[in-house]
Amino acid sequence: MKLDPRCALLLLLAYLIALSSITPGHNLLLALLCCLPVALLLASPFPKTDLLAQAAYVLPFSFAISAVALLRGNTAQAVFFLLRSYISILSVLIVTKWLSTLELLRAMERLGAPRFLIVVTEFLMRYLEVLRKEADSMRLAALCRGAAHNRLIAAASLGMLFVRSLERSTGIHNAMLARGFNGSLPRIYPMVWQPNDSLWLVLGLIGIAGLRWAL
Amino acid sequence: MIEVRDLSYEYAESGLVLRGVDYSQRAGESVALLGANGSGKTTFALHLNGILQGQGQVSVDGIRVENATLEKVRQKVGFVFQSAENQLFLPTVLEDVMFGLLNQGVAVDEAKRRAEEMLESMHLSAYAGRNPFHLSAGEKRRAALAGVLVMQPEVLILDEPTTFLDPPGIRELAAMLRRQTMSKLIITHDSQFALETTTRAVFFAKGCIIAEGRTQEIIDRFDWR
Repeated sequence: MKLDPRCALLLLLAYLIALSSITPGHNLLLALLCCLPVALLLASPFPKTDLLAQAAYVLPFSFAISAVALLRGNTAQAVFFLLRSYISILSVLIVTKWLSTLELLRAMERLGAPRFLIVVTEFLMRYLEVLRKEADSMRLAALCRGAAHNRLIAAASLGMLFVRSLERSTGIHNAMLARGFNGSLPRIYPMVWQPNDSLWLVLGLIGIAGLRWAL
Repeated sequence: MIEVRDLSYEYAESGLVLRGVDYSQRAGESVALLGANGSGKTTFALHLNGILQGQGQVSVDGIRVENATLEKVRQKVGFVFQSAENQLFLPTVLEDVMFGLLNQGVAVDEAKRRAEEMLESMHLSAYAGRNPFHLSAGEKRRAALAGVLVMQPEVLILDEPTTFLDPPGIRELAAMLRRQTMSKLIITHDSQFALETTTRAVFFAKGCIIAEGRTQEIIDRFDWR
C-alpha cells in the first residue's frame, strides 16, 4: 500500500513540528518520537546503512549549536540537539526515498507551493543529467588536448558550462513554444486522494499529537 | 500555404541574418532549405511559427504570423528541432508526446489515446513509460517527431533531422517522411536525404535566397553533396 504523496508530506510535516517543539529534558518523548522513523527505516526496502550515513551529513551543522551547550557544560543538552537534528533529517530522507522526486514536487504543488518554483525545480532536475554530460565531454576534450587537472581549467570550463546551459535553455524554451507552451506544464496523471489516505492522515496526526502533548 | 514577403531579421550579437527574403510554398509541397552554416536557414524557419518575428510579412494558410495569431499558427506549423534532447523535456516519452495536444486543449484521455497511437506507428510503444534521455539518438529523434506529428500540423518543419542518425535511421526517417502528406520544409546538409524527401529546394547564402528549383538541379548547380 502506498500513501498519497500529499498525505505522506503532511504527516512528515506534523512529525517535524512535533519533534522540533520538544525542549531539552524531555528524553522519553524524544526517544518515543525517534522510534517512528526507526520503525519506518526497518520496514523500508532501502539500504539502511546508506540512509543512516546520509543523515549524518547534518551533524557538522548541528554541532555548531551543540557546541554552545557543550561549552556551558551541558552534555545532555548537546546530545539532545544532535539527536533531534539527526532524526529529523533521517525522517525526511526516508520519506523522500519512498516517493519519487516527481511525486514529491507534485504533492508540494497541490499543497500550495508556488507553481513557478515547482516547474523550475522539475526542469532543473531533468536537465542536471544533460549538464553533467556536457561537463564530462568538456573535461574529456580538455584532457585529450593535454590539459592537466587544475583550478584554472575547472573555472574556465564552469564558465563555458554556464554559456552552454544558457544556449540549451533557449533551445528548450523555443521547442516548448513551438508546441504551444503557454506558461504552465500540463499535469497528466492526476493525484487521487483515497479514503485510506484520509484514515492514515487522521490516525497519524492523532498519534503524533497524542505522543507530543500527552507526555 | 506559406507566404513570406521581404523578411529581414537581425540578431543583437551577430547582426543582420535575413535580408529581405521572399518565399512561397504550396500546400502539400516538400521543400529543402540548403545552404552553408550561418546562411540564415534556421532563423528563417523559426519565423514560420512565430518563435522569431522580424521585419516583413509571414503568413501561413492565410493567417498572418503575429502575436495575436501565434496559438493558431502553432497548431498549423510543427517544428522538429535539430537537438531532440531540447525537444524532449517531460519525464516520460508518452507525456512528452501528449504535451502539444494538451496545450491545444485536447482532453487528457483523448490526448493519451492519440499519443499511444502515434507511438505505435513510430515503433516506440515499448518506450512510452521510459525517460526520453535514456533513448538512443534515433529513438529520441523519432520521439521528438512523434510529439510534433501527433498535433497533425499542416506544415512540418525539420531542422537537420539526420543529425546523429546512422544510415538505417536516415533511411527509415526518409521513408516515414515520404508517407506524410502535409507541406514539409526540411533544413538539411544531407543532399541524398533532400533528394529522397523533397521535390524543390531553395538555396540560402548570407541571409538571402539566391536560387530555387528542383532539388536535383540545385544540388548539381552548387555541387552540394
